[in-house]
Order: sequence, then C-alpha cells, then structure tokens
Amino acid sequence: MKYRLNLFLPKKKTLADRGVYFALNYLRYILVITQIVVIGVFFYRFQIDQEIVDLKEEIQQKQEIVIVSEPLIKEAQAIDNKVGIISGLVSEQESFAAGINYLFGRFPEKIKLENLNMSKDGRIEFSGQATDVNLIRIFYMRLIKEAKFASVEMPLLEKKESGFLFRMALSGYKQ
Amino acid sequence: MDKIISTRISFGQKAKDYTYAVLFFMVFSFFLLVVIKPNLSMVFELQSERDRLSLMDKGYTAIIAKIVNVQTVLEDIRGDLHFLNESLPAVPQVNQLVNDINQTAVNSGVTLNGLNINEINLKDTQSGGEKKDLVIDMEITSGFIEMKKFITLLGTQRRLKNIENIRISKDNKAGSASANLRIQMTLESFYL
Repeated sequence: MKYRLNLFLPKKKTLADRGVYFALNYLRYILVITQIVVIGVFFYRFQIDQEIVDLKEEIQQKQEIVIVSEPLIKEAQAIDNKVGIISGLVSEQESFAAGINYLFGRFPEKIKLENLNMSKDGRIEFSGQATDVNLIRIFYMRLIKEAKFASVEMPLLEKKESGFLFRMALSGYKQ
Repeated sequence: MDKIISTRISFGQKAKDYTYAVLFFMVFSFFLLVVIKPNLSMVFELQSERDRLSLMDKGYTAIIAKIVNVQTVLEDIRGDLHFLNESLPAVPQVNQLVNDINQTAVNSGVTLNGLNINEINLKDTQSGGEKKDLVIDMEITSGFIEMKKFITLLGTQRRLKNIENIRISKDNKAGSASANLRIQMTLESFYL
C-alpha cells in the first residue's frame, strides 16, 4: 500500500479567507441569478408599464365618450320606455277590438241584442232575445265550436211571450 | 505522529465540510425572499392589473359600440318620434282628446250625449317615466253599425285610447228609434 503523506501542518484559514472563498465560489452564482431576475423584471416592467399606461388612457377616453353620450342614452331609455308602454297598450287595444269584432261579426241578425257589458279583462256578458230558440242554440254552438273564448256560458234561457230571452258570458278571448 | 497522519487521511477521504453549502443556501434564501420574490410578485401584480384594464377596455368598447348603434337607430327613427309623442304625450292634452272623441262621434254617426272627465292634475308636469291614466266616461246613442264604426275609429287614432268598460243597452226612451242603443263607455287615455 502506498500513501502520499503531507507532513506540513495545514495552513489555518482566517475568516476573511473563508469569506473571499465563499464570495468567489458561491456568492457570485447567487448574485448572477438575482441580477438576471432583476434585470429581466426591469425590462419586462418597461414593456408592461407602457401597456398599462396606454390602456388607462384608452379607458379614460372611452369613459369620457360614455359620459358625453349620457343624454343620448337617457333619450334612448325614455324612447324605449315609451315604446314598451305603447306596445302594451296597443296589444290591449287590439285584443279588446278583436274580441268585440269577433262577437259582433258572428252575432246573428235575427237576435236582438238587449244589453252588453264588456270589461277591460275581456269578460263579455250580454243578453238578447230571439223568436226562434234554434238561432240561440246555433249561435251558442258556434261560439263553443270555434273556441275563440276560453269560457262560453249561457246561464239563462227562458221563454217569454215575445220570444226566448237568453244571457251569455264569454271570457278569455284567444287571438 | 501516527495520530496526525490518521486524522489527515480520514479528513481527506471521508469527511466533508458543509459550511459553504449551508451558507450558500442561507444567502440564496435571503436573496430569494428579499429580492427575487418581490420582483416576481410585482410582475404578477402588473400582469393582473393589465388583464383587469384590458377587460375594462373591452367592456367600454362594447358599450361604445352599443352607443353608436343606439345613435344610428335614433337618427334613423328621429323623423318618426313625433308619432310616439302623439300617441303618448307628455301632458294630458284634454282638449285634443275631447276633439278626437267628438270628431269620431261625428264621423261614425253616433250621438254623444255626455262626456265626463275624471279628476286630473293639470299642474302635474313631472314625468317619472310611468304612464298616467286619463279616464273619460261617456254616454252615446247610436245604432249597432255606427257603434261598431265608432269603436273601430277610436282604435285607429294616434292618441291611444283603450276601452276600459262598455255597457250597451236598448234605448227605452220614448220616441227613440227601435234600432238605437244606449252605450255607456269608460275610455282610458294616457300620458307620461
């Protein structure tokens, strides 16, 4: 077996020597890595800061456009509100007119209308008189067959000296 | 002498000094925490700020596109807006309403016996965007066909009027024609 022996006493390293050794062999890597990160962030920040500034300016301009357009938006909202109300009213009007036109269009000429009540909810109550009961029956059956009203009722039908008196109640007109 | 030699041999071959490695990790950790982490956090914060602003920008772009669209539509329909004001005026315009009914009665050949306008606040000029009702009770005498025409004509006028209630009965007054009907009508008109 062969040994290489160093018989000199090892040189004792001072703290400064150790510090220099550490700085040269270890700390430089730490500093390089840190610098790479910091410089990378620095340049990236340049780029992103510019984008943020541009976006802020753009948003401010757009906010001003929106503020300037506020009267226009209010006008449009008022018109929209008005159109909505008018649409609802026209729809009610058309529904009422359609109901009454349907009834009047099918009302037999030979039946005399005594009285008629029509309310906003579309309920129609009327009474009439006819000399022939078949006319009333055909009219009633037609209303049921055509099924334009959800409910067709005839609560009264009685014979009188002048003819047959009847009362009908219709509701729920379907357009 | 033997002891020294054995110590050197064992130190050179087996034992290691970890002082530098420990120090390296400690210093590196310090730099990580104090320098690198704040920098990276700042990058993420800036990115999230950019994304937030970008989203906001897109939102405003969409709003402006809608405003432009609304403006275009408004310009297109501006000429027809008076129709809306005629059908739903800002003030009650009772005189116009009465004229409308009177004219319709004349045109359809019905006799307007009476007209009653319910209570209305003429000083109320504040518009809250909600419609206000103007209720008119009237009594007319007419034949069946004239009545139909009257109702149809009321529905064709620009000023909106809805029939709230209609009561038709035979006119039993002495001297009236047999075909005449007595009609009580509650009419509803509106203003903003």
